[in-house]
Amino acid sequence: MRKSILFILMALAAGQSLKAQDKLTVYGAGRFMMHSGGVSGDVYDGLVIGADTLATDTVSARSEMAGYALFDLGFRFRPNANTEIKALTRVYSELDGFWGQGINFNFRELYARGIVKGKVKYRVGDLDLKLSKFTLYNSNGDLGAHDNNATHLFEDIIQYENFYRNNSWRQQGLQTSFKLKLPGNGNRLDVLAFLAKNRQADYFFTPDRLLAGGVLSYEKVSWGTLDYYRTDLFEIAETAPFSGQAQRISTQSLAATVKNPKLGSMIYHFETGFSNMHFIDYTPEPSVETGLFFQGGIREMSKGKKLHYFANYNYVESQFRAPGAQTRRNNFGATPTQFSFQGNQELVRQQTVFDLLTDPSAYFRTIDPVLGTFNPAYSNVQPYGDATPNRTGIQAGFRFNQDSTWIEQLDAHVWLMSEVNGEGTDKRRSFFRADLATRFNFASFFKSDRALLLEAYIKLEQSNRDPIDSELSAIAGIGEVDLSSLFMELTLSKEISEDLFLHAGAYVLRARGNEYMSIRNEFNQITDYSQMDIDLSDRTILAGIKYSLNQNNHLMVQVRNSTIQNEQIVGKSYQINQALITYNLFF
Amino acid sequence: MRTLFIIFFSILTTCSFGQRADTLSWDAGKVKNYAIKERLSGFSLNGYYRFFGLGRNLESPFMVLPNNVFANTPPVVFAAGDVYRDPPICLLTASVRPGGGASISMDYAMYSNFTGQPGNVPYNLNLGISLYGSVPTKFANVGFQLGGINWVDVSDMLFSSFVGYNRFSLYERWPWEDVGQAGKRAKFFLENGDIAREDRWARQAFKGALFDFTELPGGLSARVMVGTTPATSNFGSIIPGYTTGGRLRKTFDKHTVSFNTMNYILNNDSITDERSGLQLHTVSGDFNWENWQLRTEIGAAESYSREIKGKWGEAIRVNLRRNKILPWLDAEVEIFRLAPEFVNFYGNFLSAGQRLTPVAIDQGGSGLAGATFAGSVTDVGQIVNNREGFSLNLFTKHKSTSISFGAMISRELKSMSNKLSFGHKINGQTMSRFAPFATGVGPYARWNSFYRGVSEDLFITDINEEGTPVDRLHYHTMQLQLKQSFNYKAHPFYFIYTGMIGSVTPDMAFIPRTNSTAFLITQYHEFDLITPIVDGLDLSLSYGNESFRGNDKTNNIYYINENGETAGARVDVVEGSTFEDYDLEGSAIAAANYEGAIRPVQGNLRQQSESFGIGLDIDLSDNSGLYLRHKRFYQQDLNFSMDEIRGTETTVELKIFF
Repeated sequence: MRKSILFILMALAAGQSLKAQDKLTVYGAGRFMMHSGGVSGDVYDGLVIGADTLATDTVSARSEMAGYALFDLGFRFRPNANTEIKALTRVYSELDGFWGQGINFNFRELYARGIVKGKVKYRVGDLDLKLSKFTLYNSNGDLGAHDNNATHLFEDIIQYENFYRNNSWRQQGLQTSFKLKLPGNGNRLDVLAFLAKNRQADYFFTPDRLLAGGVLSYEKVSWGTLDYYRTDLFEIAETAPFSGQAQRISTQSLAATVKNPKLGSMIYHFETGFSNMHFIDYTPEPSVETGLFFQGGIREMSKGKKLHYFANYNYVESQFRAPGAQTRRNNFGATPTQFSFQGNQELVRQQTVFDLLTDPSAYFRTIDPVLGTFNPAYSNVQPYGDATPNRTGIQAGFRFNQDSTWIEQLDAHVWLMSEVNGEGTDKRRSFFRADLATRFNFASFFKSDRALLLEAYIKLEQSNRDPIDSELSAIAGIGEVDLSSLFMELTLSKEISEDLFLHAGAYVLRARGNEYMSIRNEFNQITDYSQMDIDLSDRTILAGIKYSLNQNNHLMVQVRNSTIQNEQIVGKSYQINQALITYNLFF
Repeated sequence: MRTLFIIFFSILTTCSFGQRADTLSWDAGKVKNYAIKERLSGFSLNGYYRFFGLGRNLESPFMVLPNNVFANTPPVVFAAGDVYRDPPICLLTASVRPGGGASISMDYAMYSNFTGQPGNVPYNLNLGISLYGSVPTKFANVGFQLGGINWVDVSDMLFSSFVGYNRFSLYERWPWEDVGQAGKRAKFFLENGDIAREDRWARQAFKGALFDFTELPGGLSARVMVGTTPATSNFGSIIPGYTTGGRLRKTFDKHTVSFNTMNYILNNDSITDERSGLQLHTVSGDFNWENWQLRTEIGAAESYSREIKGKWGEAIRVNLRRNKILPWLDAEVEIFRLAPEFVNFYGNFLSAGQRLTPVAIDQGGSGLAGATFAGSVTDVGQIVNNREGFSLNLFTKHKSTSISFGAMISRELKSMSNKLSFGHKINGQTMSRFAPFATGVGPYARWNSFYRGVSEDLFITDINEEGTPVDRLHYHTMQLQLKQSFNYKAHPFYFIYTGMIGSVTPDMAFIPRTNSTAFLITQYHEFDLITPIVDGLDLSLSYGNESFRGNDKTNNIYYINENGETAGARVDVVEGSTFEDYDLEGSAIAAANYEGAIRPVQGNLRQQSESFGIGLDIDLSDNSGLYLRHKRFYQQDLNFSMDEIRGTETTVELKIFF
C-alpha cells in the first residue's frame, strides 16, 4: 500500500512537471509612434494684462514632428525544464535619423529563474515585486487606468515601458520562494524573500541602497490566510566613504483574510502594521520615527454574482513610511516629451492630462524613500495610494459586471476621509472622493453585432479645511482649504468593421480652489508650506480610428485638441493640436 | 518516521500541485493582455556575411588638397571594407510575425572592419526598424509600412530613382548583389537585359508612416505617406521637417492613371514660424495595348521659401514603346520638357539650379539654396530639369546576340550656368574611394566624388555679362551595347561591349559632335569577356577606354571665385606671368603652383583614361562565393598635367548568405 501511494505521488509529480519546451524561444514588442502638431495661445503669443505685458515667445517651437520605431527582441533560453534565462534587447530608432543615425541599443530585461530540486524557486536579475498595499505595492496613477477604447493603447505602452505589471515594482536583485505543507488537509506555509538593489552607490557621497523583504503566508483551508509582510529599504553607509550617512526604513505588517463558508460569502480582511525610520550619522540626527496603520474591511466576491461590493476602514498615521507602497507613479517633475518648454525663459511646460495619458516618461520607474510631490488638482485624497500617510476614513463601493445586457460594467467607489493630524494647525482636512466607471454597449439596441461602446470614468474630489482661528496655534501661511476637482473621460466608439473601431472622446480636468502643499526635506519632514491657488481647466477632445490585428497588436490614428487654462502658469492659456499614429504589438 | 513521511508527502504534493503549465511562474495573478507571452513561431533570422578586402597601389599619392600633403590619398591601402556605408561585414535581419497579418523586422549591421581592436567594434542598424501589417475592411484593404527606412516609390518623376536602360559593364559586382558566378550573370544579362537587384532598386528611402489602400471601389487605390526623407530630416533638433505625399490611382483594364503629389517642408526658424519647401504634383498614366506601351507624366512644381515666392514650373514626359516594330526590333521614343523650377531630388531625373537644404545649413532663413548644378552629359534616359528633348531607344535580340542602342538630344530651356560636368565610367568607382563625398578637390579643385562615382568640372568661357553661356547648351548622347555569347569547343563565352559618345554644343546636332564646335566631347568604350573556366571557376576580363575633350571656348585655368567655389576661365598664355596678372575675380587654388592653376595651360581639357581588369569568381557553395578582381588603371590629362593617376586596385569579396 505504501509503495502504491509513493508510486502515485511520483507519477503525479512527474506529470505536473514543466514540459520540456523548446530551448530557445523569442518574445518582445514592436512599436511605431509618430506625432505632429502645433501649439498656440497666450503663453506663446504674448498678451497684455493690465499694465503688464507678456512678451511674445520668440524661442519655443510652435510645431513639432517626431517619432520613433522600436523593436524589443527577447530570447528565452531553457537549457532544461527547471532553468530559464530571459534577455530582452531594445533597439530604438528615431524618425529623423538616417543611415545609422539616431539608433540606440539597450538591454531592457535580463534574469534567470529556476527551481532547485523541484522545491525552491529562485530568480536573479530583474524582479517584479509586490506584497500588500501597505508594504510594497505600485498603486495606480492619479487619474485612473484609462481602460477605454481611445486611450487603452497608450496605457498599455506606459505600463509596459515602466514595468507596471500587476501593480508590481521592477527592481534588480534576488528572489526566492518555497512552500511547506503543514499538518491539516491543505494547510500550508508559503515563504517568499527578496533582496534588491534599489540604488547604485557612486562610491563617494551616495551609498548603495537595498530593498529587502518578503512574506510568510500561512493558509488554513476553509479559514483564510494569515500573512506577515516586511520590507526594509536601507543604505550601506560604507559604500559612500565620504559621507558615512545612511537611512533605513522598515515596514512590517500582519494581515489576515478570512474566507470561511460558514460565515457566508463575505471575505473579511484586516491588515495592521508599523514602520520605523532610522538615520545614521546625520547632524543633527533626526529622531527615529514610528508610524502605525490599520485597515479593516469586508468584500463580497462570489463568482456567481454580478454585483460585488466592498467597504474598508483605513487609518494611517502621518509618520507611517512604506516607500514600496508610497512611491507615486506620476512624476510631475518630469519634462514632457512633447513641446517641452515654453516662454523666452524656456520654462519646463507643466504636464497636462494628455501628457499623463500618453507619455511614458511622465512616470516613476523605481522606489524612492522620499514622499514625492503631487499636484492636488489631479489627486489629493490618496495621492500615495492606500498607504497615504495622515489619512483615516472609509471607502466603499461596488462593481457590477454583466455581459448579456447593454451594461457591461458599472463601478462606483466612494471615499470619506480626513487627516489624522492637522498639518501646521490643529484643524484637519476632510476629503471626499467619488469614482464612477461605466462601460455600456448599445449594440443590442440597434440589433447589431458590431459594438457601440460608451465608456466613462468620472472622478470627483473635494478637500476642505476650516478657517484657521488666528488665536489658536496657527502658523503663518496656513489657512482654510477649499479645493474641488473633477476629472472626466468619456469615449464613444463604434466598431465599423471587425476589430476596426472609430472613436471619439473627451477628457476634462477641472480644478478650482486652494491648497497648502507641504514641503518636505530629505527626511520626509515637513519644513514649510506653500499656498496654491488653483484654477485649472484642462480639456482634450480627440477622435481616431483603431484596428486590432489581434489582442496584442493595435494600430491607431488619432487627432486631438487640448485646451489648457491654468492660472498657475505664465500666460495662463494655450492649445495643442496634434495628430498621432501609433502602432504597437506584443509578441 | 510518520512525521517525516508526512513532511515529505506534504512537500511533494505541494510541489506537484503547484506546477501547472509553467512551473517557473511566480503566480503573479491576473496578467493583463499586454504581458509578454513567449512564442517560437514566426521568428526568423537571416542575412549574410560579406568580407570586402581592398588593396590599392598608386604610383604616386593623389593630391586632394594642394596645400595639405596630409590630405593626399594614401598610395598604398590594404583594408577590409571600403569607405562607403556599403554592406557591412555581417548583416543580420531579425523578423517576427506575431500573427494578425503583422510583422516587424530590423537589420543589425556589424562592421568589424579589421581595425586592430577586436572586442571593441561598434554595431548599428543598417536601415532601421520596420513594422508592416494589413487591415481588411469592407471598403478597402489597408496595408501599412511604419518606421523604416523603407524603400518606396510614388511615381517616376516624383519619388523614384533612375532605372535607365541597363547599359553597363558586368566587370564590377554591385555591393548588394546576390551570390552568383560571372557566367550565369552574363547569361541572365543577355537573356533578360538586366541582372537581379535588391529591393531598393528604383525606389527611395523614406521613414515614417505609409498606408496603401487597395481594392477601393471603382478600381481605385491610394498611397499616403507622412514622414521624412534625408532632405527633410533634422536629426538632433526639435525643429520639424516633413515629407508627405502619395498618389491616387485608377486602374482600368491594363491601364492606370494616377494623381501623384510630394511635399517637402522645412522650418527655418526656432519658433517654426517660417517655412520653406517644395511641392510637386503630377498626373501619370500607364497604358498598355498588346505591343504598345505608353507612359506619361505631366505636372508642376513650386519651390518656395520665406524670402522667395516660388514660381511654378511645368514638366512633361511622354514615353511610347512599340514592341516588334519590325519582327526583330523593339523601339521606344520619349519626349520631355522639365522647367528649371521643376526641382526634385527624389525623382528619376536630375535637378539643376535650386536645391533643398536642411535648416541647419541654411541659417539665413531660406531653405532653398541657390546652388548651381553643372550641366551633365548623362546616360540616355537620364533626363535633367531645365531641359527639353527626346530620346530614341532600339532593342534587338536574335539567338545569342543582343543589341541595345540609344540616343538622346536635349537643350536647355534657360541658360543658368557655364559649368559642365563629366562623370567617369571606367574608373569612377575606384577613384571615388580616393576622397569620398568630396567637392572641389584634386589638383585643380575640379574633382567631385559621390556615391560610387567621380565627376569633374569644366567651364565654358564663351559667356555673357551674367556669366552664363551666350547660347543655350545642347546635349547629345549616344549609347550602344552589344552582348554576344558564343561557344568555342563547347565552352561558353560572353562578350559585352558598352560604349557611349556625348557632346555639349551651342547648337543642335542629330548625333554627338566630335569636332571643335563642341564645348565638351566624351567617349567611353568598355569590353567584357566572361567565361566559365571550369565548373565553379569563372573568368572575367575587362578593358575600358575613356576620353574627355574640351574646345577652345572652355577654360584653360582653374581658380577659386569670390564665393569660394571652383571656377574656370580662358586667358592668354603669357610667359613669366603670375596669377594676379590675369585679373581674375578670385584667388588661385591654394599652394597650386603649377600650370592650369597658377597660370593657364596651352590647350584645353584633354583627358584620357584606361583600365584593364581581370576577375575570378569562385563558387564555394550554393549560398557562398568568392570574387576576386584586379584592375590596372590610369588617367592622364595631356594639358592639365597634374592630373595623372596610375595604379592598381585589387578587391576580394567573400559573400555568404544564410
